[in-house]
Parts: sequence; structure tokens; C-alpha cells
Amino acid sequence: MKKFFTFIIFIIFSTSSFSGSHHSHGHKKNKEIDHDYKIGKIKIEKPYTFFTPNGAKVSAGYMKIENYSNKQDVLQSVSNVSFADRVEIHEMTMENQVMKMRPLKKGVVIKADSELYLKPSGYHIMFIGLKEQISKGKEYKATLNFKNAGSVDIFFKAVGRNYHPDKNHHKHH
Amino acid sequence: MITKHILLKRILPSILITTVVLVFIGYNFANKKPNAAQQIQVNFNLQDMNGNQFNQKHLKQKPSLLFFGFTHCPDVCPASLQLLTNLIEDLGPDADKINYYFVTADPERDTTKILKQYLSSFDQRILGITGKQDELKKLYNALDIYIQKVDLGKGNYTIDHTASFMIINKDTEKVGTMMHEGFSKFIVIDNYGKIQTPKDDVIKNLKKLLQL
Repeated sequence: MKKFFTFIIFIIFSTSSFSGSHHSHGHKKNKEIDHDYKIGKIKIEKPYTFFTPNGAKVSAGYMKIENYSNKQDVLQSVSNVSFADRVEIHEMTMENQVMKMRPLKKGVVIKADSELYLKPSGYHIMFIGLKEQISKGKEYKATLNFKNAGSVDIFFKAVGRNYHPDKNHHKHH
Repeated sequence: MITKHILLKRILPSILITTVVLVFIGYNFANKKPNAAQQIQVNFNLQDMNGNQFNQKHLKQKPSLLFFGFTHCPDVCPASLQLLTNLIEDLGPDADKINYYFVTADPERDTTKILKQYLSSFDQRILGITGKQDELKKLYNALDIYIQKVDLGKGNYTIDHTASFMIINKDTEKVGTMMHEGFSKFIVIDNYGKIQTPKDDVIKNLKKLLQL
């Protein structure tokens, strides 16, 4: 009887570890967005942008920026964008159900040993005067210019509106 | 004699104040409609994206969901339109019991043609509305929509705007608002600013407010 229980426990453990490894395979399916970049002590994770509605003249880019330095850094500007007339760093705020958006002319600070999310309803890179539509599966090049770490070329991957980077959800429900 | 004096000086004023307060509270309760819904009293003359006239009579046909935004908005407007598209899909057959409007906050740039092109990327039941600034203002004011053009220099501008949906019933009463939460889902808020529960059941709350 004791042996039987040991066997059952063994089965439970082995199946749970199997499903665990299966889970991580599931995450790999989202590899289209798992692209990172490094410059100095700055790491850029998963830059993405949304497909634009037809005829849209503007769009926004998002990413996670990690600062491994014990000094703060500043994303001062974004340049080298061929698909839009201008690029700006913006902050969006929501107060009493009113949306406000402002350009950050001095850029955005990434504090020492911390991370900053550029995401919907917060900071974003704003592409103004789009020369083409942002479309599925395409990548859009830009150069991020940091005060201390220097400049780095990245690619924004185009994803659908139902994409949420934190949840790895591609669809609603 | 002394006790009578104290009674008049101390207790009587407080009785008087209490009575006044109670009468005031009662009066306010009696005058408040359930849900504090107020009928929208406004006449306006606008155009839909197909070139047809759009006025107050159209709000009486069916309950309506109205969003105020602009096509040069990179973040909250396309996100809201996508969430609305998802919601319409989730409503199933009930979706056709409601009219959906995207009213521009930027008539200078959002012509009927541009609205039609832009909205073709979302559910086809969402109707774009534009028109003259003065006529649009009548609708903004009637629904307490905040719209403020902000000059960014060199001929560029952005627009601060109310980013929640207005929920209007078939009697053209504003019965609540619908707000996205974290850009991933909607929550329904009644006229008292109270989030309707269950919080994650937008369809149930919407149907309740609109009596569908």
C-alpha cells in the first residue's frame, strides 16, 4: 500500500513538472516580440508598435527600459525614423476621465537601478506624419539616444491592438 | 426661571438647526430622479461620415454609446475603438439594439472622408460624426465633454479630451459612462461615479443601465 502511494505521488510530481516545461514552450510561441537590445548599462526589451487604422497619420511605440547602472540615465530623443516625419517622446495622463498628452522635450529619466515601462496610458514614442501604414509582421527601425549610455538602433515590431506585453495575451476574453 | 433661560438659549437653536437640515435633505431626495439621469436638451446639426445629416433626433432612435476623440490621437482613441469593436462582437445579437458614435474633437482635420477611412479598420457599426465647431460644441456641452485644443508650436497641436464613453438611453438620458481600465477592458460607471458590479461584466451592466 505504501509503495502504491509513493507511486501516485511520483506520478503527480512527474506530470506537474512535465506541464511546467510545456508551459514555457507556450511562452516561446510569443517569440516574435521577444527581442532585446543592449547599450552600456541600458537594456531595451520588446519594443512594439500597433498596426495603424486606415489613413492614420500618427502612431506610438512602446518598450521596457532597464537601467543597470547606479546612475540615472535619460532617453533624450529618438531619431533615424524613415517611416514618419517627426518623432517625439510623450507622456499621457488621465485625470477625471480626461486624457492629456504632452511632449517631453528633455526626454524621460530612467532612475538608477530601475526599470521604466513605455506603455499605453503612460509614456510613448510618438511617430508623427506617418509616411506609410504600420502593418502586421513588419519591423520599424529607430535610434534611441541616451544621455549616458549612448545611441542604439532598435526595431519596433508591429502587433495588433489586443496585444498586452505583460500578460502575453494576443486576444481579448 | 434660570433653567427655562438655558433651555431657550441652548437647546432651542440646535432643534431649529436640526429641523432645517432634515427638511433640506428631504427636499433634495424628493427632487432627485432615480439614477440622477437627465434628459439631454440640445439641438445640433452635424454630419455623419457618409455625408448624411446627424442631429438630436438620431439620438432618440436607439440607446447610444458616444466616444469623443480624433484620428491624430495615437493611444487612447484607437485603443478605445478596438475595445468597442471587441465589445460589439461580444454583445452578439444585442449589439444592434445600440447605436455607436465616434464624434470628432478635431473637426479641422477630421473630415467625413478621413473618418470613414479611419473607422473602416473597426466594427462597421461605429459611425463617425463631424461638423462645424460651433455645432459640435453644443453636443460636447450637453454631455459634459471636455475638449481643449493645446498648441504645441510650429503649427502642431494636440487635444485634451474626455476619454470615456457616454451611455445614453432611448429617452436620451445620460445614464452613465464607460471607461477603459488599463487599456485592456471597460468598466461601467453610473451617474454617481460608482463602478457597476460585477466589475468585469460590462455587458450585463450596460444592458442593466440601458434596460435592454
